[in-house]
Amino acid sequence: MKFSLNFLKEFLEIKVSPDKLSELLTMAGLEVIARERVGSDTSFEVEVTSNRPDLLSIVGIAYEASALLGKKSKVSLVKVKTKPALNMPVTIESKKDCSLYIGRVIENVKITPSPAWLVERLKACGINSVSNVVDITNYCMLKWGQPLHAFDLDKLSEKLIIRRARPKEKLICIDNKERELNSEALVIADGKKPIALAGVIGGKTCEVSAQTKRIFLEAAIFSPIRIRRTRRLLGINTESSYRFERAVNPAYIEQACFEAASLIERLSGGKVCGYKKIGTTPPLKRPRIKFEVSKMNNFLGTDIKENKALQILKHLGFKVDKTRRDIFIKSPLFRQDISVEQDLFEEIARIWGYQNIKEELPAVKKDMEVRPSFYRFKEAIREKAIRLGFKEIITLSIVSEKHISSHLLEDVEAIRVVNPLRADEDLLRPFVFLGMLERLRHNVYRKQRNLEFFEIADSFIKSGGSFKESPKLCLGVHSDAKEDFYVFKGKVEAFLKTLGIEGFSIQEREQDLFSNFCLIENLGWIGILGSDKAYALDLNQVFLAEFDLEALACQAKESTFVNINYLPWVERDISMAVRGDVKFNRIEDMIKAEVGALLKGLEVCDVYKGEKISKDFTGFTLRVFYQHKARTLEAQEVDSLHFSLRDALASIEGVILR
Amino acid sequence: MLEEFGKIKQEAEQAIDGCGSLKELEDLRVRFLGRKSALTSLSSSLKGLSPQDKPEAGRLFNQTKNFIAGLIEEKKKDFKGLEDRLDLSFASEKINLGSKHPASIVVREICDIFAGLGFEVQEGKEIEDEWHNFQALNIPLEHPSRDMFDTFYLDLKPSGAYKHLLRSHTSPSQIRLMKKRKPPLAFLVPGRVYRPDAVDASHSFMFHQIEGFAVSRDINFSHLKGALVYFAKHMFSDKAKLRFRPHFFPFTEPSAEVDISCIICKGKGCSVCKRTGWLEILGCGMIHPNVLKACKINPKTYQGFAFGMGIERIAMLKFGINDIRLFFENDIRFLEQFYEV
Repeated sequence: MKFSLNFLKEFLEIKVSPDKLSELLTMAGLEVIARERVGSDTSFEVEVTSNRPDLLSIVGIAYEASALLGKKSKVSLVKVKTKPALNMPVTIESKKDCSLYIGRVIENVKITPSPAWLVERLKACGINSVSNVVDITNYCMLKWGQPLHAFDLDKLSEKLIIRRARPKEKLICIDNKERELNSEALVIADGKKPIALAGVIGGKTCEVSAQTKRIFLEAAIFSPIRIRRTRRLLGINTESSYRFERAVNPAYIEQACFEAASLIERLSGGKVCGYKKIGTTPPLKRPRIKFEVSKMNNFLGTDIKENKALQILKHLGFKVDKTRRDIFIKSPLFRQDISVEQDLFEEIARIWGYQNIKEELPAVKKDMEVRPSFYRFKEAIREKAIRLGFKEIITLSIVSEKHISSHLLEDVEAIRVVNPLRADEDLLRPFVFLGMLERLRHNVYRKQRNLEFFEIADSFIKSGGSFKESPKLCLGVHSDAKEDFYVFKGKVEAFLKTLGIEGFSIQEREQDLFSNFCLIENLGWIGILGSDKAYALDLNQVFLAEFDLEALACQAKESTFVNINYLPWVERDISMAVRGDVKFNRIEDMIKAEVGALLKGLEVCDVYKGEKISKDFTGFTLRVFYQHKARTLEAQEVDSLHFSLRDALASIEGVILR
Repeated sequence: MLEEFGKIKQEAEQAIDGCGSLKELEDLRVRFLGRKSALTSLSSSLKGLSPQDKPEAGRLFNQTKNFIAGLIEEKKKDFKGLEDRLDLSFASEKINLGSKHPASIVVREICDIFAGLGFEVQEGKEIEDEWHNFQALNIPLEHPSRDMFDTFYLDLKPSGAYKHLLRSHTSPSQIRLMKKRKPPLAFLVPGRVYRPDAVDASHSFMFHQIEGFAVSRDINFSHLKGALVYFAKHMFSDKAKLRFRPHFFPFTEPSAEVDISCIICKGKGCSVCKRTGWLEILGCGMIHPNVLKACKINPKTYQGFAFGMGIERIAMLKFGINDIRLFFENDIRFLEQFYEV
């Protein structure tokens, strides 16, 4: 909101510089965000917080500034003339929507451009001049905080109703837009049709124009909620609706309307010939709050003397009521935001100056309860992934359905956003790997090819009439070499090992989008993206894994020390060629069964697939490590065991020893 | 005898001169000076000499030995470091490291700083309901103060009368913690939040926030100031200055917005701080009694403070990042720039 310094000076002697005034206002809670010279005036742009509608007027800001400058503000109230009476029928359909409505009729007006002083005033408040009558309504709104509206009386059939719009009723507003209304909208209507959106914007038909001779001037109090709903429904926000939504101060409605009518008489040559008022001012809160300065100092950490605190409140318009034992404070009518004692503490603190409150460290008391923090666990997981060479990404949780294959969505019920920013991006992702895939694609598109990413994020699904939000870890790799999958698998195993999880069972499965996919117990899964999907995304090899962090946390074990076996071990190699349909774990299982407890480990070296070997065979060398727990093994013992191992392996169909 | 020594000397000299490597030189040393060398066998035959000849022979022996040893030492200099010589300036292998996202770096740093003051870190769920996200925080559902917290609604069954949504701040998780735990308490809650704001260089519909709150019998506004100054000094610079400006939040009273002296221009005025010399980093205040009541904590007995900040904003100030969209674009050339010191 903008206000004019010269306008403010009509109510208050300001001797400080604009700089100093900015600082004073800002440090007391009315933030000055910009300032510029406008002719001989200065325009201040301020951010008025929603709890201080009283600052949406010059008289309100004058009151605040006077408290800050230690001066008295002079707001002179004139005696309002209420005669002659207006005969026109005006009805309010519901008191809840409109509690008070005042109308004045001014006849014989001449619509002309406004005098320079008025144009300047408005300009310094950021409002453009239109014509004398319209400008006067804006001027009085800026001064008193009471929005006013002028209608061309000749254009409306001579009765007024303040009512809800009927469904499908239409109104062309003064911004030239036609709007369709419904029963949520509050309108000013004449006998036939709506002529304005009450408190928001006027209609074109009764707009004041160069030909207007008779004015109907409206000043009213509308329900803040009703105005809010009306303007949200129709997507408009005006200076008028902004003030009504925050609740205008009823104290000035008569002044504002009378001053406007008087100014119209003066500047347009017209004559007021009727006044009507229906309804009453709405009930206002006026709490009486007990004030204890010791409580305040305990709350703020200050040592403010009681008389200083009370002086601040008095300057702000509060009334101090001292009884024998207690002090009670009554807030001014224009401060409907005051209800509890902390509101008073804030008033005193902000005028006293937050910068004058000392800084002390809080003494936070600990207790004996042990509360495990899942954040700590997530940080540990993060470290593990980083150690394995993955870079952390953070991707958006709201995705578009077109990025998910419809088959995937068949198994789960995804949660939808009812009011998305973009109509096609409205799914809360049920799988975290979707974001990973998107970002791999994004980076590869930008010519970055070797990518290893991870993300820790929640997945969302509907479940049993409610929802399930689960923290997940997703690992993703883009590579140009299919064999790199075994590096990825190695990292996944290393990762699980650092959680104390080894020897887990895997279960291969058909899974849409993937060429290879297997579940890792109840912990998660690992897979390779199907080549047709990869091709569609312009990607090469994509390896993915996802883990449920809660399941991992359940199974994770702390490290426990196992004695090192310093005894020497014996290595023996077996070179073999294995046919494509024979799975490696079959060979591995056989070795484990044959060698038993003497098996220290197994390594694969020299993997070969090429010309020297039959087409669907893979050649490699297995290095078997033999070690005894309690004594040095003799070569002969190993030899005989190794020979029977060779025999056992050779007996597997599709395995050829070399 | 003399000529025997002479022959050995000559042979050794020739061999050493033509020697091509340190290893060869070592072999030559063994050959000429070792246990099985000609020189050594000669020295054993010295025993059979007459007492007159022995001294002369012994002298010759030592002289030869020293001569050869000297040649070897000299020759060694030729190979000084040559075999081990590499071109150190040659291109190194590019090492790809794992890394933490800058938002996570900042969250961790903030948590560590407040851990020093006794704050515990707990997280909450991203799906919330209107009661926890608004009502309990003293934000009426139909009021202009609600406008700063526009939210995404979800197609889930309401919780009683309260619809489900994606939380627009981490405060609802605070509420849940305060309902479960009785004071004294001090928590930090980081996490993702969602607001349907149009996306641009300083706004994203999804971002991260961290909120802290402490409640006890005597925590007051000066403690809020102290905790935040402590935080700013550790997070930014020990010379950091903070400015507390009165503001309005429905869930705190008194409320404040906190500015830090611009870290770019040190308060002189620049384009980052729009020439004011200050950068807004936080919102805070004393927890409103209605909020404590909603959590069944008696505001007559307990009082506390709360503060909240946008993680991306802090990261942008700390690292000099100029566009919030980069955080979610995850271009590897962005991600690899950040490390913890």
